[in-house]
Amino acid sequence: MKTRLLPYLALIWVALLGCSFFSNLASATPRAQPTGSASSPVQSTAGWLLPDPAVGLASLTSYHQELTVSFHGKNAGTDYQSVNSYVRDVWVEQSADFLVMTTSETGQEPGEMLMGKVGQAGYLRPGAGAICQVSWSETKPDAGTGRVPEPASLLPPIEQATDVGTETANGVSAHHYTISEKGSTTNTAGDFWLAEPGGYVVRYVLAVSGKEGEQHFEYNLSQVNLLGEVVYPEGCSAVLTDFPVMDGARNLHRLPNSVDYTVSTETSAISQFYKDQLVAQGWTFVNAHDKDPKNVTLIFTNKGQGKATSIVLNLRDKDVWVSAILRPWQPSSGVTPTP
Amino acid sequence: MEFRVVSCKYSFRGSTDVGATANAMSPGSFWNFVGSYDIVGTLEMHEDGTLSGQGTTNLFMDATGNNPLVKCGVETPWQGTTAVELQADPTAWSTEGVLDIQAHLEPMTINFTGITCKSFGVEVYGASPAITIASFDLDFAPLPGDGGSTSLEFQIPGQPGEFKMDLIVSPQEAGS
Repeated sequence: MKTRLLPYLALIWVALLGCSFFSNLASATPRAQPTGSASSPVQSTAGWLLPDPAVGLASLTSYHQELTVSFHGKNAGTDYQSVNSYVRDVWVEQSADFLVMTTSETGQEPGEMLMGKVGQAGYLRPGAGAICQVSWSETKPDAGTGRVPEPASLLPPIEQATDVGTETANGVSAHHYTISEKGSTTNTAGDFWLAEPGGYVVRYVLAVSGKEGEQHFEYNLSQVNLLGEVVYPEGCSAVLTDFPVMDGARNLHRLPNSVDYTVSTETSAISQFYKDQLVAQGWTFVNAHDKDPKNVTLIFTNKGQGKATSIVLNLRDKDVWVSAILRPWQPSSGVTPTP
Repeated sequence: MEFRVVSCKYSFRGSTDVGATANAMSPGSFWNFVGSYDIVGTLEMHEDGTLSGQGTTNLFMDATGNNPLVKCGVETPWQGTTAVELQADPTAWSTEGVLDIQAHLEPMTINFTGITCKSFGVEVYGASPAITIASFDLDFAPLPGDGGSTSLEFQIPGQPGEFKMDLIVSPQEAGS
């Protein structure tokens, strides 16, 4: 029974103590693996029992993760504690995941941030109660929001541990391992469960106590392959993936209530395209505002969906910028007029 | 080191559902109003570091009668067009990477001919004069440098009702 955690834990302590939680996340290098600088030599994890705590997750179709990393002790001689929490839902086939990170730290205001992506849409809610910002990129969905961190990668790798046997953890059959090591300055104790089959971490609890205090990791993976449809966090909405777009569209952006793109086509052809496509989808063409041929507005309503859309065709040189906005719409209830 | 790539040209659209406001102001009305009040333009970064652009404001609203016994229609919809000047705070863009956009809308005349209703063989026509909306400004909440959407509640000078403008700002690739 032996663990080689100290180089990783030292790095994580440095990363978590006295630093901004979100600036750590922004570094996009949450893995505890040292990165080869002179002050943190690379330590090979080849042959370790759990060299990468994120192992096996790619083989799942969906899952829910919760990780809490806390520290209680002293910082520069004064009492200090911090709790960083990560809650993440992942839908692999839909290329969707949402992560909510919260932090509390002595002397600091609590913080919260949501990051996520669904297909080509990226989501960012920079604080509790803030607006959920949505961006779209056909090639880089996280271009505007940052890559969603993998909580399991924040767990220290483990070289060796004692196999206790097979148990059920978080509803999954798993091998239970224990860790217990007393060093000259640090004591380490914990348990973790590796799915059988699959090898992914189902549960992981680790406490490292030293002269300055105790660091505690608790990680749970649940609802494995059971999440079903993508659930959007409060205030975040799906983008309009089914709103028709012309062939040859460039610079396409799909947002929750709008679609825009550029196309090299006559405005009359674009108008006809939407009259055909949207009417086929159950929309009613109301009218076209084409007083200015360089700026044409098309209005459609959909009583069944309770929506109206306003599509602007803005002629620029040889191209047309097409911008569609969808809004709630209900016809007025109506009264019988006096003849 | 990570470099952030920010566009120097944006397409801009602010859009207001004027029909929704008209319907809300006339609950139980015979009429269903459907319309759109749009600001469309481009915003570009210039060599001196300023961000500005021009565009067009268009108002369009139609109405249909809401009773099977009476056929009503608008002869020509409410329509108006005018120019808009757009600018973004260069300091906010250069230091925070955000688009803090203001729009200055020129006065706009809205033309409308009238409404015709037919019921049991009787046709009734009602006319309305053109109205002019005074110049006014819109100051939008900051958006990320790579674009996005937001909304703004505002009032049109001299007109009743509260309006909500949805704003889309889309970065444009070179050549778009």
